Amino acid sequence: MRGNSVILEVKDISKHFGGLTAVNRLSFEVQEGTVFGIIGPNGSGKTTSLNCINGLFRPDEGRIFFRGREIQGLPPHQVAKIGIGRTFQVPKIFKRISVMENLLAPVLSSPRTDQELKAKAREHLHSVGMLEMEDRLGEELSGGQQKLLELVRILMFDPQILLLDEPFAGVHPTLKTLFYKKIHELRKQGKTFILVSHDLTSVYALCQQIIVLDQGEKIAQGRPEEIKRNERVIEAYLGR
Amino acid sequence: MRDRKESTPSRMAAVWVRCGPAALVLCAALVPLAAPSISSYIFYLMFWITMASAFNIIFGLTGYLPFGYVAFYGVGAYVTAVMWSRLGVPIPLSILSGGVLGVALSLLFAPTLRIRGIYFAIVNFSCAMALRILVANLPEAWTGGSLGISLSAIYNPNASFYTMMALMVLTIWTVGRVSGSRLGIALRCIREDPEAAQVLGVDVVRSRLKAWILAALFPSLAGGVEAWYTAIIDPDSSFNLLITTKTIVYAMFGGLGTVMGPVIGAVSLYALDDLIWGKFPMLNLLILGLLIVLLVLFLPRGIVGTVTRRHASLRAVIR
Amino acid sequence: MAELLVQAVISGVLLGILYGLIGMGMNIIYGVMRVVNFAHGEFMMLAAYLSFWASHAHGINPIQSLLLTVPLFFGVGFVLYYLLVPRLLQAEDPEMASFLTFVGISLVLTTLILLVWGADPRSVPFPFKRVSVSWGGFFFPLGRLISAGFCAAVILLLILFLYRTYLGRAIRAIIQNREAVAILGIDPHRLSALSMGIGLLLVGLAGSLVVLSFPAITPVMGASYTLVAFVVIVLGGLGNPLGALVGGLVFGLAENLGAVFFPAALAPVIAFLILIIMIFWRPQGILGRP
Repeated sequence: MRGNSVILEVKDISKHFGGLTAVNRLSFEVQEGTVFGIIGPNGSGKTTSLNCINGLFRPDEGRIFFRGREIQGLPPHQVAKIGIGRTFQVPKIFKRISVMENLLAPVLSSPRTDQELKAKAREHLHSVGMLEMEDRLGEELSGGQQKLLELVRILMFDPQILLLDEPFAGVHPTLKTLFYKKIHELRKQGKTFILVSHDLTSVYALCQQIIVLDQGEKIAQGRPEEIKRNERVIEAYLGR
Repeated sequence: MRDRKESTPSRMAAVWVRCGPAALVLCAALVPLAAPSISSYIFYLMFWITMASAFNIIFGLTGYLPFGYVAFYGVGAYVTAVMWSRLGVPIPLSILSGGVLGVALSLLFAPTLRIRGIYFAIVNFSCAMALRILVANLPEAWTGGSLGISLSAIYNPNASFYTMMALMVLTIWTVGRVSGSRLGIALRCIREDPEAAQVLGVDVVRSRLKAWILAALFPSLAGGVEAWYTAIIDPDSSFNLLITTKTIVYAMFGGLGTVMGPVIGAVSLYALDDLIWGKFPMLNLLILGLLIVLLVLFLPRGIVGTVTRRHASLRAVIR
Repeated sequence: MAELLVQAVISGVLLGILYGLIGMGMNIIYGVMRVVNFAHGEFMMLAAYLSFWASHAHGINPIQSLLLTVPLFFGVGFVLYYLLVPRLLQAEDPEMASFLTFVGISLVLTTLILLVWGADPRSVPFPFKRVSVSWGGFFFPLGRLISAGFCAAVILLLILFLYRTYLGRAIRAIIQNREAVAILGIDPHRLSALSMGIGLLLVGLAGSLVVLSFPAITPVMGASYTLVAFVVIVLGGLGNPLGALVGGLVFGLAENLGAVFFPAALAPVIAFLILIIMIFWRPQGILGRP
């Protein structure tokens, strides 16, 4: 059913800032319907890689394919339109508008009626236990709720791949379980995830494939149990 | 649609919000007939409500502060006066052409929307001041130089009063429509975080331009109607920076980004302004200055924004 | 014609140094706090009026009055910082909030000047016997020469302070990277208050000296000097204190050479045009890197 086709292929991408190399000749392939983990110490290029994929940065070298189509250099709103959603380490919630309006933001150009879109938004809110909050302002949510809102907000445009940047950082354990549930559920529907996280327990529990970055380079790749035993990974995390 | 029970205060507010404005407009409509002595006061109140509400579309909804906002008002006034006095165009058409030129001016300024924050405010301010110098230095046969243009031959306080009323209602209605629409959501998203809006697929450039054009249209028309009402214009009063400042203060006091805010702000502060202006014109400027400082420091969301922040139940009613 | 041009260049350079000083004051305040001092010109006019008062009531010349305005404005800056800035920085949009606050302050200052000194233009008597010195067939207006000399000395001192002392380096560090100060172990509030004091000190100095170049002052002149400050720092680059000197010289020259070719009524348009063109063409300033 899944695991056979490559949905995203990153080929030899590099990104430099001034004299610093944030990402160096990075390559990986993501299978459709899997959860793909990217881990590594601070400043190892994890977030920069996500920024290159969703168009916030244009990689200096290399190419990125989404279902065989080259996407590097496309502006972010077009990358969103073709089916790649993205959350941020510090959730980018619109603070002074309501939760409902936050959810409508990604589908403003949709041909469907407001009523249909609102019904869909309520379904998503219900699925994360936030139905009561549609009239709250973004700023009135807790940090964890903001993260959940950001997740269901990108679900509004039904992306094929979800790029999640540190979804568990600072999130209460109860909400974390909810996140797990949600990711499992979406995976069953055929969604693909790229998960960047410091939380190794979560990454090991959720991901099928993991790559490890250190100073912008890929130093290891494999299934969770392979990564756990990899000496270079242990060294990268503990050695400095 | 909402099966949740609404609390008593919010139901009362709902009644007020629906019937209050209609009753007020009706009362104002009777003023030129029943109480001509205050009709000038009501005219200018409606003028400031129009200015503050239109300003709200660009500053309140998108966070762009056009510090030279007075330019649209000035252009509307001048185009109306020149069209009528030099080309003999009937006054309603002159006012409409003022609106058209105001929109044209906003399109000319549109590239400045690429710059953000303080740069936009300063560049817009510079454009307005440059325009003022330009208008003052155009041939006297056209713009009347520093003396301006007299429209006394078509002085008609009642007709211009009702035109201003119609313009005010149209402006508030438009703001209400925009605010509740998808465009309104897009604009607020851009105000909060343009990058996040883009990542979610919001068309930042087009939404912003629409708001800018709307925000330019109404003050341009208001400038024309006011020129008709006073029957005289000159460069100093048509491009007076205080018009921008007062517009900002009224909109802020009521609550930026809300539909009712600028209306409430103009109603409450114009009374104060009128009272002090008549007796101590200097004190008026001092108070205006202090008011801006205090508003920014202590009431940045204005009356409506602060009330709805504390009482979430009112949000569905007061927008 | 050539003579006229040389005279315009002399005038442009002498005024440009003063403009540079005006711009530096605003630039330090913006660079350190991201606070846009829209009342810059009004503060300057306040200093000019204080010098007028000192000269008129006590026979103190504008240069001697620096002893009054400089410490006074430094203190005002310090107080203003603690009164306003920490609160402004917590606003949803600190840059806009500070801009609007200082718009309000500019109105307050203009009114105060109007209330105390009235709306009629006032003139500060010229304190020197000779109006100009001639050298090589060209005239150097003495007032502008002396004010430019003072400004140049102050700019030099400021550069020494910013590049040679610990506090000065800390100010430059905070301009470049706001987080850096935490690492240096300096209280950012103290440093910001100091910068605000220096910014206003410079504007007080400029206000007292400007009457040597333009003796007639009115309460509503402030806005045009605020504009000068904006043009200067947009030319020199926001947050770059040295750039202000370059910006001041460029603007002084443009203004005075422009006056040779264009009618006087259009002169202010030159400033607006420079501002608009620069922001589109090189928003980082002449010296700045993109």
